[in-house]
Amino acid sequence: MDKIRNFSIIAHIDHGKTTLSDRILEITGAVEKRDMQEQILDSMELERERGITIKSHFVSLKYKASDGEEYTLNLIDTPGHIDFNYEVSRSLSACEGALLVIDATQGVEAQTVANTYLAMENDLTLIPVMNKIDLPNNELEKSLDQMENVIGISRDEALNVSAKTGEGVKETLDAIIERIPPPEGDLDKPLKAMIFDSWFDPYRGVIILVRILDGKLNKGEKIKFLSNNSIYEINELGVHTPKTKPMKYLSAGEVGYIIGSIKNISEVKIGDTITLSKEENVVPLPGFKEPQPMVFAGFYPGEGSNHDELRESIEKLTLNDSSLKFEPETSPALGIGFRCGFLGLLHKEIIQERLEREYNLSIVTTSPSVRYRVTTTKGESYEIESPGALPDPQSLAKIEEPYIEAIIITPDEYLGNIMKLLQNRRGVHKKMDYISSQRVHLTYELPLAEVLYDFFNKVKSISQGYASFDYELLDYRQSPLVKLDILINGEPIDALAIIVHKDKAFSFGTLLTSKLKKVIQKQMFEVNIQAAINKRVIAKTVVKALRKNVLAKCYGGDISRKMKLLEKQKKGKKRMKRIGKIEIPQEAFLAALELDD
Amino acid sequence: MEAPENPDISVVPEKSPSAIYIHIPFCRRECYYCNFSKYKYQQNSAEKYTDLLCTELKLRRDQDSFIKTVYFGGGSPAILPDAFLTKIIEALNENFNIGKLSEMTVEVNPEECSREKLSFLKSAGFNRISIGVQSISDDDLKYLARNHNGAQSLEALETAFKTGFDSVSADLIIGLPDQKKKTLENNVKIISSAGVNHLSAYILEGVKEYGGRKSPEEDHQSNLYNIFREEISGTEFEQYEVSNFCREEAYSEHNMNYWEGGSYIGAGLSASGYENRIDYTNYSDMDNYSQSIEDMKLPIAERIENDPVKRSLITGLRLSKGIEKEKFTIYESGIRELIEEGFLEETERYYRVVPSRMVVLNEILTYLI
Ligand SMILES: Nc1nc2c(ncn2[C@@H]2O[C@H](COP(=O)(O)OP(=O)(O)OP(=O)(O)O)[C@@H](O)[C@H]2O)c(=O)[nH]1
Ligand code: SF4
Ligand SMILES: [Mg+2]
Repeated sequence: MDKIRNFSIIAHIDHGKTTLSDRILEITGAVEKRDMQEQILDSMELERERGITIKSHFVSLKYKASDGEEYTLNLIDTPGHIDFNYEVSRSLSACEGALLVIDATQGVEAQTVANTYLAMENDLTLIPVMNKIDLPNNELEKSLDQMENVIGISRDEALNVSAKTGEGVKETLDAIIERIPPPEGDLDKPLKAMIFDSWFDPYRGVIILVRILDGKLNKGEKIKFLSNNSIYEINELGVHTPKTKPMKYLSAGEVGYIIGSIKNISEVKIGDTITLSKEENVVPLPGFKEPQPMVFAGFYPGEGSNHDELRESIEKLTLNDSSLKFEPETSPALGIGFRCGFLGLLHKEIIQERLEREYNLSIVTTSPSVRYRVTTTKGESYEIESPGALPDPQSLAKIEEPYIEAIIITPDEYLGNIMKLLQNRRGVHKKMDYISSQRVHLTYELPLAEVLYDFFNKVKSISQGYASFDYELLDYRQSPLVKLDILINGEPIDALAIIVHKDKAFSFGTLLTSKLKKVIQKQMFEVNIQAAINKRVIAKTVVKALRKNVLAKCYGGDISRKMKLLEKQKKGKKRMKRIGKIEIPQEAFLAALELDD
Repeated sequence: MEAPENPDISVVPEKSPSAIYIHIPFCRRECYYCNFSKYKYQQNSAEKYTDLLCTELKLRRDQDSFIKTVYFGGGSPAILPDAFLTKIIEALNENFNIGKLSEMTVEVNPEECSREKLSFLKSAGFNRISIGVQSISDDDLKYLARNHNGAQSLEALETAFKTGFDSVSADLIIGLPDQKKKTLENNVKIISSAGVNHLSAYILEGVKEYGGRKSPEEDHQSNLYNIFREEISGTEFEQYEVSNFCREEAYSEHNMNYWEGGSYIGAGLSASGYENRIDYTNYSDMDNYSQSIEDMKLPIAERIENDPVKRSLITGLRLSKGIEKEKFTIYESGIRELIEEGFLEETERYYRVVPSRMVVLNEILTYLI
């Protein structure tokens, strides 16, 4: 067991975790040169295309250290994006240490801090890795200052690395062996293992990643999940190197995969404790908090897709993404669909893209919303996840909305504008610290709803990309909120409604109607767009009817071309929803996300 | 409102071809707004092309179908020397059953309308000519950078009648950026009374802003189109298709066959045909076209099997008389909605587009399909 090291790689988004993993895979010979490709662990198509990690990836490596001994390194590459934070927590629970990667050209950013705290909560040994030192514009000294100030790790512990050139990577591996303690655990105790990830593979069935804490698990043995006492037989176990490598057993301290007689992935609970079926006295581990959906949106079949296909596809996605929640919803405007809960907007975008690509569906989504708590004048209290569900003002006693604690780290030259933005978004200033001579760490409390609407992009554009943002749910607070209805040709469209602060309702209404005018194309019918609060119209605009769209010449040679053209026009309407006779494009439902304020 | 996956196609019966289209891809010069396949005229390439075309006609030989109409289009078919045209017509006679043609049309530009040329065309068997007048306003013709002026346009028509053509069609263009209502009225008044029995009036398409040249605005074009229709309704002419008008029922029989879903043979560079429910299109580049024919293979670049019901909805709604109700029950719910909104109307047996709404026909069709 003292020849095993279990560690995660954590960092702010884009700081180079996956690239560093590439180099480690190379040095340890896990992947042959000719099979090497950039960010090899980002194996999902979407990950490769977007250049970001979405899921944690586990790989088991053999490494001959400077002391001449061979070690097993179990590496978990984690995502940096805030939406996938829970992936980081789970991964950390299977480790004794973590490489904290800091891009030396950027310095300490919001998720650097947030992920450091996660690692500390798990009592992990942290090894700071200053990455991208090959770049001439790196600000190594400043980054080290920031690390000392914010994270409290001495600069002497840091390694200077270029994940691109490979410089410093060998030293990093040696540091892992020297500094990260080997796993503890008792081989003679009854089997105790923790599930930290699982997914469904269409060829191999349900695959579970486990960390063995005590004892030993052999192929063919019967195991038991402590959460529900269900019993399964292990058909296969092993490690990913990253090729799948079946083994005879996994023992205390090790990390690996198991495949058993598990039919349905819903039987597997991440964080659950596994023991052998015959054991009676194993105490379950505390498990994890379920990831909480933060953002909700309606998903409806677009032109040419149907409700049953959509349900089946969402169900399939939830197999590998337990953070995706959904329930049926009916919208007067959009028909029958689902209200889905997501970890954040990126998560929502990814789910939508996967449904469209992997399941070939066309989808219309409503504007996203947070979860509100409403209390009626009759004293009933309940939660709502869509603006359409808000009761009439007459019967509404109060609304409470989720507040977050937001951390923003920014160069001080942008401080003024960032603070203005935060104030604009109803932010309450809590704290401000300089973490190095020109870099500020801000803490604010603000409504979660305010960061849904184009907040992140604003922060980035105000700061030319240098400021970063992280948040954590705090509590619910009462606010004077109203529902802003959008009417199309006189009909309120529930899917376009949003809940806003009453002082902002007027300007939102004006901005939103003019944005809608831009995204709703001219069509056969005139489109009247109105914004209203409590049935009082506060803003309106019109999209004039299309005046001309005809092919003047259509003779023998034009017929096929014309059919193609019309089919193409029709296809362009796939991500639209026909409401009454009006075609509303997907962008319209997301218009509220990109208003200029 | 999706159309069913497998519509009952027996409602649009398949017929053997009754029309042949011949494409002549040469022009004296290239008009910027034109997207037909064409090359600058050169005698030796035209000669070679004539031979290729005759070989293609041989490859397409069909003695079973009864051909009623032949149409020579382009390009500018009339720039071919008489001998070449004769050769092509001979090849048609050899390979097809065209003894009793009822309509044989050729497109000509005003500057090609010499007495000699037109006499030859008449003697070669053409009984209908379509003249690319475009406008009789010099301003319009300047914008279009045409080779002729308004006076020459009228002269060309005159020559055609003198040569003895009773069936003469004039092409007009509607909706140039600065075209005045007055100009359009003038065109209608003068040309409709010049003796032609057919008019095609096309809304100008595909002109991008370029240099000092403006591109037309859709509102303006839509207005002019409807002004044109109103002007025409005060004459002996009736509209029978989006862009076509005639008097005394002098419909273009060849074109009616397209819109009514009939089969037709296409020959020549980039030409299209529709046979056995397949829409096919020939190569539009000379290299591939000639290579295929030299290899004695049909020069077809693309074959598409379109849903015949959808196809006949799309072409049929172009006609003023509309589409037969009983054939299009699968589109009925959408059609009803559009009747309610004033885009379509119905008679006892037909659904048709409200004439003033023809300008948004594409929207109507995408709404329905
Ligand atoms: N010049 C240079 N570029 C690097 C280095 N390390 C990573 N990069 C680049 O930085 C970008 C982000 O690298 P990734 O490895 O995908 O970053 P990540 O931390 O895994 O990102 P997420 O998984 O999305 O959080 C890529 O374009 C890499 O090529 C380095 O040491 N030097
Ligand atoms: S003459 Fe006719 S076919 Fe030739 S380029 Fe001009 S418009 Fe096109
Ligand atoms: Mg990554």
